[in-house]
Amino acid sequence: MSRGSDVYRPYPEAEAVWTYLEERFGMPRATFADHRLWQRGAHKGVWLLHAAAEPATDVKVDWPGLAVLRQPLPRGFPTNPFLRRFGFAATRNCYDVDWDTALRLMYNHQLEQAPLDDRGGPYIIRSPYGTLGRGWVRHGRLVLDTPKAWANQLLPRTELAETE
Amino acid sequence: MDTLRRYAPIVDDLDAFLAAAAAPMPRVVWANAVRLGDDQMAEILARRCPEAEPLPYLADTWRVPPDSARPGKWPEFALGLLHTQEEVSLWPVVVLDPQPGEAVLDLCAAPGNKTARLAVAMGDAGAVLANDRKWSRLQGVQDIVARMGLTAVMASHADGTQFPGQARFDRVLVDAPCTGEGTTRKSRGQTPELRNDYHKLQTIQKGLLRRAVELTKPGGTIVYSTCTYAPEENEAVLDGIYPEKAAIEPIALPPEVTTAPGVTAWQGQAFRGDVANAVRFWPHHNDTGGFFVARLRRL
Repeated sequence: MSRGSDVYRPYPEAEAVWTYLEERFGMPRATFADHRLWQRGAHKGVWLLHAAAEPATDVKVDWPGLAVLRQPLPRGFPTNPFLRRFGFAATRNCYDVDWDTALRLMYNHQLEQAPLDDRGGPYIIRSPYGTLGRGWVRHGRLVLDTPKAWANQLLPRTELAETE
Repeated sequence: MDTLRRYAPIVDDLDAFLAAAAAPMPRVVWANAVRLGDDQMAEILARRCPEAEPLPYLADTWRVPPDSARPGKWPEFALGLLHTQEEVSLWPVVVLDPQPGEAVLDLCAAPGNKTARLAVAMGDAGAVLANDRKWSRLQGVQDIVARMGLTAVMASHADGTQFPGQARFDRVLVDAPCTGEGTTRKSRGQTPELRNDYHKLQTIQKGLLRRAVELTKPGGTIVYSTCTYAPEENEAVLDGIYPEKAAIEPIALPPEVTTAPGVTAWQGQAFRGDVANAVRFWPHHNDTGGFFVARLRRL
């Protein structure tokens, strides 16, 4: 959240975001038919809000809906919360893992041999229970963007196999 | 806990009440139905907490024993597939009964549990404005909303007693700041320090409820709730609303849930008659925390 900025306005380059999501992940535009994009000033994050809602102008709105991009395109990439909600609709650049592998990735472990080509850009990592979030291929390894605290906070660790 | 003895005149079994108020409390987990189907939630619970029991009167909700692993540490929680909350805290949203596409205001939203439940109950379709006076506390609301992937919630920070604008909401939830006497069971064996500044809080609560009534469209619904037993913070606050502005409606709850009606008099003060339509949740009735819920119809 940021303080002291302008009011939120419809994001003028929404078309570029829909195109990016379609080209990068194969997400159909119809997935977002009931949503609109909003931004508070240039170079700020882009937010996804249900079409029935509109940020009020007579009260200071801190954030509307779900953050899609922390920075506008082309520098920005989709946030983890956004991908967890809408990752199910992806058909490209996504990788499905079983639940054991999902847990390893959540505990900040890495997949030693990435099953994806390292062509840059984020990937979507999915489990049987939903999308885990944004993944990257780095030095041949698949890494999931997770909060560092998860490794210590989440229980139960005993589910994890110690050998990989 | 001796403070709670002041409720002897209005509680049916004082000893049972005091014993329950000091005992550990089960929690509930509820599925994020926007992202998870019933079958998937059943699979998760079978692995994490086989002893969890579905609550027959609350959809997508299971009761977890107090000695089980904290649901807030489950990986599925971190992914936003489920949420944990106190059972009795779910009733204000049930009573408010928000519908998809409506405009709903949560006037005192932090920490955001009821806000999330509101949006999920609406199928994440509509406009939920989560307001709180303290900007810093809205961060917690955003954490929950982002974790659960909800797109119908936006946040504002304004003093709820002076929230700007006209009557534009279909429904308004006022989960008012209170002394929190009903939360003693969360204290995990430690004796909680109970506040007794009932009248100071009452001024704020009356201001919040009055503003909530003004912000609701004619025919719209307002729910006033607190997690305290004090009539000064409950029925006396409702009594401060002009009857021509809002009527307090009866609340129909499932027959398995035991409640007590609102009290119409306390320490020499008589309240408007329809405060009896409000419901009190005593901890010994349903093995929950304590709560007070009233539903008002804007006239």
